[in-house]
Amino acid sequence: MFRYVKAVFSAIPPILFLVIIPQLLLVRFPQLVQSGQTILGQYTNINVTSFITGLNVIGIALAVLSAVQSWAYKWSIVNPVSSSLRMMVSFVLMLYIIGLGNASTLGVTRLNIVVGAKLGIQFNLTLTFLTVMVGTAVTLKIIQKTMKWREDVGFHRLDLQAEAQASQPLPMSPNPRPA
Amino acid sequence: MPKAPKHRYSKKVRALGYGIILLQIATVALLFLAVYSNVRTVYSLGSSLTSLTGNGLSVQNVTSNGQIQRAYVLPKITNNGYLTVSLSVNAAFLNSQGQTVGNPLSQSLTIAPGQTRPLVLPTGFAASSDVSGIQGVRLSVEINSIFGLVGGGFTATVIF
Repeated sequence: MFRYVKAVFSAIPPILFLVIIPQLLLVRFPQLVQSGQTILGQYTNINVTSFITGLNVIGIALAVLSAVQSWAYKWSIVNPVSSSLRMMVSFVLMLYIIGLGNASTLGVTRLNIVVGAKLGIQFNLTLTFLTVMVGTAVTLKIIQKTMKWREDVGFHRLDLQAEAQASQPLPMSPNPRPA
Repeated sequence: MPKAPKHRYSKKVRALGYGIILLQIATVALLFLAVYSNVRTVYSLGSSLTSLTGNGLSVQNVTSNGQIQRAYVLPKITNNGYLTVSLSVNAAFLNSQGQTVGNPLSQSLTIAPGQTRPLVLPTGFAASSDVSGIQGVRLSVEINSIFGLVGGGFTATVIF
């Protein structure tokens, strides 16, 4: 029962921040989003609605993976697999946000601003260093998670052996002492 | 029911965990230093441009041979940050069809922390008649540090 409660609670933050709040913005303040889209669409290459849709998809994926990871036993193969996938999806989320809806830029923000026919500005912000370092950290974390899981499997075997020994009945003495 | 003994992970796993934490701290620190150095240098570049605007744009440069060439000179670009910064400027003058007039101006320089260097953009114009067909300019500025892994830039096209 505790595992299911933990799973539900771990799914709440990604659903809240990446699905509910952006959707609330879209539904409750459509005029704000519409005017924002008008301004952004007029001068830049950003599409707010598709950006939020992308956030929703990533949020749902993160929520599912977080729930599965919290639900799975530490010694189960499901735990390291879901954890690794969650870290990868988080990494993609970072690239998606930096790339303003395009994760394939690999840490480069590209913004085209066109003001009338007289001035066109192409702005870029290179955060490849961040991408490389976070990518390295994610890889190391996946390796660490796998190592932890292998040790957890060993710990689980030891626990099972200890439980089995504890549950065995005490041996009866063949020659009971006379009272 | 007796409580199961608490297991401890091996030294290898714990060392890897500490290594990841150190890597994350180093990433944040280096990123901050790089962004700080870039921003300070861009600020200096902006100040240099402002002073030029105030005093009139410098369009000539005295070469090592003592000759005077037509050039745009940004005299004082200072890196007040903590990491070495590379700056690259490309400019091309455009005619009414959007084609480049004359040689594109291109210059790049590396500025160490605390150093001040000028940026000289030789125009390549031989005569003032070259200037007559100019209808716009495409200016591209790139600034970066940590081997180009952190930085930014912009390309602006202005039609007169």
